[in-house]
Amino acid sequence: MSRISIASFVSPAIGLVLFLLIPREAAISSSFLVWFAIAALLQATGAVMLLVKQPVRWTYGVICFWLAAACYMGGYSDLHLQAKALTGTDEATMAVKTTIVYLQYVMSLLFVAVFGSLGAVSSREVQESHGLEIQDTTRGRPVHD
Amino acid sequence: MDRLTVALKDAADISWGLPFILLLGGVGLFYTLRLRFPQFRHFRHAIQIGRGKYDSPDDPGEVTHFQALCAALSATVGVGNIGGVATAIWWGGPGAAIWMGMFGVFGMMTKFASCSLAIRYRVYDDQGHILGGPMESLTRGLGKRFKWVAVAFAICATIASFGGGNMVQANEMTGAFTDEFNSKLPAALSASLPILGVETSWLRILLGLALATAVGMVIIGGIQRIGKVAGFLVPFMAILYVLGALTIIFYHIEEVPDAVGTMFKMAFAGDVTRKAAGGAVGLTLLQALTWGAKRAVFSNEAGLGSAPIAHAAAKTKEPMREGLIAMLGPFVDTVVICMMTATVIVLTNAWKEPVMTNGAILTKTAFERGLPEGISWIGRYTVAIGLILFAVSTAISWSYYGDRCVSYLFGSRAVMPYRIAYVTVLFLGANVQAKFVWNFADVANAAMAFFHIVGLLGLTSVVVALYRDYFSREQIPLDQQREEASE
Repeated sequence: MSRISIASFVSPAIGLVLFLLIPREAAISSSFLVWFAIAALLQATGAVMLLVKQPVRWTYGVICFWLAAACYMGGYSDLHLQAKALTGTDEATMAVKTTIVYLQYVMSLLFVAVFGSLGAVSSREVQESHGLEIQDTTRGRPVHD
Repeated sequence: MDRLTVALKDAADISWGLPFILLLGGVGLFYTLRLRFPQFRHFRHAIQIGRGKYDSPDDPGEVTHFQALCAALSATVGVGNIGGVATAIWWGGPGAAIWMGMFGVFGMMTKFASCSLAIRYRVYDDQGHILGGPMESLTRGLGKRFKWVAVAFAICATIASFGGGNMVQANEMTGAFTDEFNSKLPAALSASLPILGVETSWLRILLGLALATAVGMVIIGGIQRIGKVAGFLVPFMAILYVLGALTIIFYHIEEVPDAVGTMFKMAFAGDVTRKAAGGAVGLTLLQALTWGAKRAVFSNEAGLGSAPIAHAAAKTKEPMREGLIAMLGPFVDTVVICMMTATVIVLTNAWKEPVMTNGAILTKTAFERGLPEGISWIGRYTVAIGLILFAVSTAISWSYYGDRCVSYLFGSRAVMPYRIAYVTVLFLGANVQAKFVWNFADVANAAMAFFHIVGLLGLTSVVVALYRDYFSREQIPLDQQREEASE
């Protein structure tokens, strides 16, 4: 199993543990967890796709990673809007805001992890190992080569 | 329209949020570790390249290494170095300045990688001009499956060129000018003048026209003229601003150790005095980190993919050389200029102001407060003139970014209409408060980075191979080579 696939299984698992470890305030809606669940599923599916070295599998794997990244951003946006709706400065509100910031950090790190995987599978080496041909699509005349 | 504006504001806040910052910082850190801190090990070599020791007139390209660096720097040294730093310190505490510097150091590597790739994959367009940057690196480096990513990048960069690089700068420049000189000019010039529902004034119209004409005259000459103008303007404005900041720092030299100590202490322990802004120490620490990182990224544009477009035009055969000179950009922008601004703000305690309406005004207060009463106007004018020059130079360079992206998308025939549209929008930007466009451009700006980062990560092996190849060969300055040849 490639390192990218392992990372794609491990990072959502760590994210889930962190989400469970952060003490949840009642005022925080769980909708961000739905985004997380969809993203984690897409990430894992992408990782499974990339286990078989075929051009079509690579394409589907990359699409899954793009969508997973978008879903993590969705989860982050959900938390951002929840924090924005909190206007008070009393201690209870500040505690909720603090928790949201921690949750946002976890979501952001998950986003970075999936984006890193996306970058790694985009490399020429991985594309070639999946039987894809790298073609120069430029219209201009190369300066170097 | 209001709902759309609010939605766009949210989208801009989210796209410039934590995921974006951690991604850009992460890429810089990744390259720093992967290549074992080249920003420190090869700093001297980068300076030598900047001094022209390796410039060869026979190399392909349109401008020298130094001119390419200045063109890129003139786009990055802008409002962020003045207002952005104040905003970061006010919200994140003095510790934000340290995180800003740290992200500047990581940003050096992001720029190093992206500019090396820009040279490696650049092409000549149908008019024989250089065309390079993330759009070429993505398609030529990663292949045809990334064409859509390159096209998306080019579209976002074109949109962003009209927003952050154009209207925002025009607006900031006229704002700074009217703010400083309004009272000294005839009242008729600054009187409100409603045109088609837009509140403007003769002064703003005249300033807009002057700016559009000046920028138009420069950009019409392409990268060669931009490089020449930036090569003069950037060192001049940077030296002027840094001298102003240094004067204040030396005037308060005895308090500098305390100020620096406060910055370091609050970078890692947070600013617990700001109960309303944070609460727990952990959160205030995160606030310092987030605000420092956010403003560093905003200021030095490392990872956005804009600077590689300017650096692609450099006269060189060696991609690494351009990468090395490019890494000086975030150093000058963030590590030097932003840190100067931050030190002045902390030294003068301006960051403790209870209310902050505008970052640039807070910096102006700090510069004014930093000098004795009789000469405090020097500090005020340093910031005002700095703002005006920074805005003009940013507008000049961003036109080239849009210019190249339009050429990539539609061919070189689209370049002249783009330039005309660019100066027209510049004039409009001086006269309207286009918050809607700014937010739209902010989103486009962040989207550019997301598309660009895919290329940066996907082409890591290419950067590493170029790096190893370059440093496996002995690098002899050109004049030394000639001396050896003549002997």
